[in-house]
Amino acid sequence: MRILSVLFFFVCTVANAQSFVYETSEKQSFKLRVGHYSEFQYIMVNRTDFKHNSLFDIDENTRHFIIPFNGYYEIEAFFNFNPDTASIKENRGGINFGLVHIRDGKEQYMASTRYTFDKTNQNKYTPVYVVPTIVYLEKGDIIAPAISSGYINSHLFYAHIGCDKQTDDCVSFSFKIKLISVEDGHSDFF
Amino acid sequence: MDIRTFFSLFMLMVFCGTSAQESTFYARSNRSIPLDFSESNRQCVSFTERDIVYNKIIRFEENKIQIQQDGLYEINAFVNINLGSYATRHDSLQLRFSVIKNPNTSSEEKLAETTYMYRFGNFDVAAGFQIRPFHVTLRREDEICLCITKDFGTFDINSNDKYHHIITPTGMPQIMGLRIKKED
Repeated sequence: MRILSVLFFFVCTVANAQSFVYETSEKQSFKLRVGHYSEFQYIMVNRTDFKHNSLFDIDENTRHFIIPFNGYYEIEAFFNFNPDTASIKENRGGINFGLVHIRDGKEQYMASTRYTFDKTNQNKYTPVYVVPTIVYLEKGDIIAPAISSGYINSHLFYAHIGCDKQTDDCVSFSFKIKLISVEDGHSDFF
Repeated sequence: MDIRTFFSLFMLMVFCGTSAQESTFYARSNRSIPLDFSESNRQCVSFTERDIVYNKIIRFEENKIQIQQDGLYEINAFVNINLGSYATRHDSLQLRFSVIKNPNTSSEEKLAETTYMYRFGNFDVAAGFQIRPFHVTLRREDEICLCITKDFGTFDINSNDKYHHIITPTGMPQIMGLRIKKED
C-alpha cells in the first residue's frame, strides 16, 4: 500500500508541470565570424536569474542543464539582439538562435530561429523568438541556449544581447522548458 | 491490501499519468519544399505522417490537419525560406506567411500572418518567419493550413524546380513547424 502511494505520488509529480524558467537583463557579447556556422556560442547563465525550477537537479557544482526523465518537452526562448555593425555600410546576413541538444559530445539545435538583418536593422535591438517547440529528450541529455553565425558576409565583433539604456525591466534573454509527457518517443530535431 | 484497493490505486495512477499529457499537436517538416508562384501568388504547404512529433488532439488524414473538438486553441508556427535568387540593388520581394483556417472554402479565414521583405544582399539568405502563439476559437472539423503568399516582387524567385526554397538555413536543421494546443 505504501509503495503504491509513493508510486502514485511519483507519477503525478513527474508528469505534472515540471518546468524551468530563466530570465535575465544582463548583456552578453559574441564574436560571430564568417564561415563558423557550426560553432555554437553558448549563453552564460546566472543562478540568480533562475525564475522557477521544478525540473533540473541543480546544486553549487552543477555546470549543465541535464534532462532528468525521458519524455516530451516543450521549449521556447527569447533573445533581444543587436548585431551592432554600425561601422559597416549596408551589412546583411542571417544569424541562428536556439536551444542546443548535446548527447555523446554531438551538438545540434533542437529548436531554433533564423534572424535576418540588413541595412534597416543592423544597428538596433530586435526581439528574436524561438516559438514553442515540442521535442523528445532522454534522461542525461544536456540542453543549452546558444547563438551561431549562420550566413554572414563580414565578421560581427560587437554583436550582443542586451537592453536599450532607456528601457527599465527589459529582458535580454529568457528560456523555458516544460515536461509535457513521460511516454516513450524518439529524438529527431529536424 | 485487497484487490479492490489495488485496482482503485492502479486506475488512479493511470488516470493521473494520462491526464498529465498535454492536449497538444506538434509537427515539423524534415524535408525541404520548393515554392512556385508562376500560377498563383499563394502556395499552401502540408505535413506528412512522418512529420508528426506529438499529437493528442488532431485528426490527421490525407495530410490534412483537422480539429476534433470545439474550443479555444493556442497556435504558433514558423518557416524558413531562401529565395535562392540574385537581383539588383533596387529590387525587393515581400513574402507573407499565414495560418489559414479552412483554405479554399467559403469559410476560409486568415488567423495570423507575418511578412518579410527581401532586399539587396538578402535574396540568397534564408529568412525566418515566426508566428508567435495566439488564441483562436475553433470548431470540430475546422482545417488548419500554413500558406506562403507573394505580396509583390520586382524579380522572380529561382525558377529551377530542383531548388527548394523552404529549406534548412546554413547552420541549423529546422525547416518548418506548427504547434496547436487546446486550452482547458
